[in-house]
Amino acid sequence: MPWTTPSRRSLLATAAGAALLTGCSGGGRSASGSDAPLERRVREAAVRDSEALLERYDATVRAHPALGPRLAPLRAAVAEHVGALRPDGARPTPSPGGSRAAAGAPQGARGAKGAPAIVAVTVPDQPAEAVAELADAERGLAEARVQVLADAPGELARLLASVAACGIVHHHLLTSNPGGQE
Amino acid sequence: MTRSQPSQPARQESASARALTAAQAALAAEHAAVYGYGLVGARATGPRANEARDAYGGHLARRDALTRTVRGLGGVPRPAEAAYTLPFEVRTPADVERLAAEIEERVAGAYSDLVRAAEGPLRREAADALSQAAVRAARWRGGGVAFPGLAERSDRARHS
Repeated sequence: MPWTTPSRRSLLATAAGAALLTGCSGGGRSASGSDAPLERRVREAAVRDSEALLERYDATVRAHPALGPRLAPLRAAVAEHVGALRPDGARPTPSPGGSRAAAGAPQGARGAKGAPAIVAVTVPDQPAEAVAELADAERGLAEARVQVLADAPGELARLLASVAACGIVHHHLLTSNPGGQE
Repeated sequence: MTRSQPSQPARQESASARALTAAQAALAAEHAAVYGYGLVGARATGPRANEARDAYGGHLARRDALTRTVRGLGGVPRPAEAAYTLPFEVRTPADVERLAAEIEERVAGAYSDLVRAAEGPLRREAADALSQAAVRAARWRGGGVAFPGLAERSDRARHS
């Protein structure tokens, strides 16, 4: 099961790097006062990153069902991030129901609809290692987001900073109780 | 590099005014945190006392950094209040932990606003401070939230 393909961490780092590039490629356009295209690009990249993280949570729980209860609340938070980061998802949705995820997905940002994710996820055989990789993925993505938010419009930067903070908290929660299975 | 926007200087001026306002608000939150942790530290016991001491030191450092930031932005750093009203009566160890968590959540809220208002290194510092406050809040609460520092999204179930 555990292959020697590049770890999820590096894949995430690549995805985040791509987000960085798209985030910075606005050139002088934003000087004209319109941040709309930049905002959309940053949001779409951030959604893809969170969906990839979501896929890693799902793969981890598929490989280690006993981790489900511990990971469920963290996964739920990541799913909320996907909703909030969507270009049309700027408003908080009152209902915590699970059906809104598919509601307004923009053309470019779907693809995680039962279909396999863009990158294959490999999960270590040992639950503790699987959790450690998840923790690494959370941290790597959070750090990349702090880079990306430097160039984002203010309100989106605030959201990205909050989502990054949540990722750092997840890293903390996943590493402060290693193994964590009773 | 177009200079055809006559309103650009005015926009930048108001942007730095917004950064100053947000930095002052974050400084006020750090003053309150220093005060609050004085109380938390006096009542926390065991490993929680160590956590409170670390947090106290962290907030002192942030307070001093923000004092310099406000000066750098051309403002007069706001002083601490003479006294603060506690949000609730602190009697039990659970109250102490709840107070510490609330302190951190308020600090996190101030830093998320500073992220929005600031640019460059200050925005980056604010984002780091937000993460730090979120981790401490989660430790005191025994679980995190999906959107640390965003009060408008805070009516969410917390997770552990």
